[in-house]
Amino acid sequence: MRPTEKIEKLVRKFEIDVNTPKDQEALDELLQAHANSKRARQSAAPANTWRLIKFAAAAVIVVLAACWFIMSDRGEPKQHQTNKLVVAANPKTPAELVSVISLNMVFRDGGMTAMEKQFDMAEQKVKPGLKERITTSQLICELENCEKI
Amino acid sequence: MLEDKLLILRFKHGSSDALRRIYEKYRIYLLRLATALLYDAGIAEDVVHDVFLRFAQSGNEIRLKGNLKSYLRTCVVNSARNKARAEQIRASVDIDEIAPAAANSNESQQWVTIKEEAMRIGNALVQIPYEQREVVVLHLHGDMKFREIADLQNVSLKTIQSRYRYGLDKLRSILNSEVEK
Repeated sequence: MRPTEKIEKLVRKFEIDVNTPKDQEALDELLQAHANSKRARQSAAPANTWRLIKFAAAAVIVVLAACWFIMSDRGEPKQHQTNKLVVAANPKTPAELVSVISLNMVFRDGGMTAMEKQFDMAEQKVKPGLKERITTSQLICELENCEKI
Repeated sequence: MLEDKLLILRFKHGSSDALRRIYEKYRIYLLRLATALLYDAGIAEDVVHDVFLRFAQSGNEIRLKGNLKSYLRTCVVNSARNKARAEQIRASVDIDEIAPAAANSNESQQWVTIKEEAMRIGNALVQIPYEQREVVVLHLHGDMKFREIADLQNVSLKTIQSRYRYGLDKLRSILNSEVEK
């Protein structure tokens, strides 16, 4: 047998004896601790239930708030769409058609402010031929073939 | 293995019989391991008792990654290492003079006693550095492979193998010198 194997065999011989009464004592202590912790956990259970209910209620409130926020946020584009319909008149000529399309695009991108800007730019372009300054609403009305101008 | 899984399941559901079975199944193995690591029956008893106590109190919070045996063994090894570090067992005292007495002090009141023939081995084991002793004891008494010990100690396989080799060499020289005396 090699020296290493001899040492290994020797180390494996390290053995202990267990005192039976002490062993039983240790086991009893263990079982007692187990029973106590079980009891403590059971008494703590109602408090945990209340904590869970409170947490669930808070979660529901947060979810509702989030839903309301999302829904209200989605509402805005609808308004844009209804506004867009004001400009979506039945164009008679290709020039009117192009105007309506471009105005719709401008309105979709930047709302009334962008439209005002667009009108100002158009006004500057055609200023020599324009008899008097007209307002945005007058212009929209003209595009929609309003009777009153 | 399957029996252990069943025992753990029953224990998690609050069965004290399962706890009793686990205790009876592993107490000798863990006590021998702790005693071989520390060579002090009193401290080894404390280590194993504390591990079982924490286990009993853990209830259904216990989360086992591996099997039950390796879980309990890891708890004992870590706890023994902490004890060895904290108290620096036998580090600064003359082991030859007091070791047998300290290893089995007040036998009638003790849970564990080291057998007469094991005293010589324990006395030699305690003289080698703790890192080497841990590897030797875990390999020869804990039935652990070098790879498992490397994972437990978070070092490389080569380190574990060299610690084992150095440990055995030192043990041989200690035991040989005893024979020469």
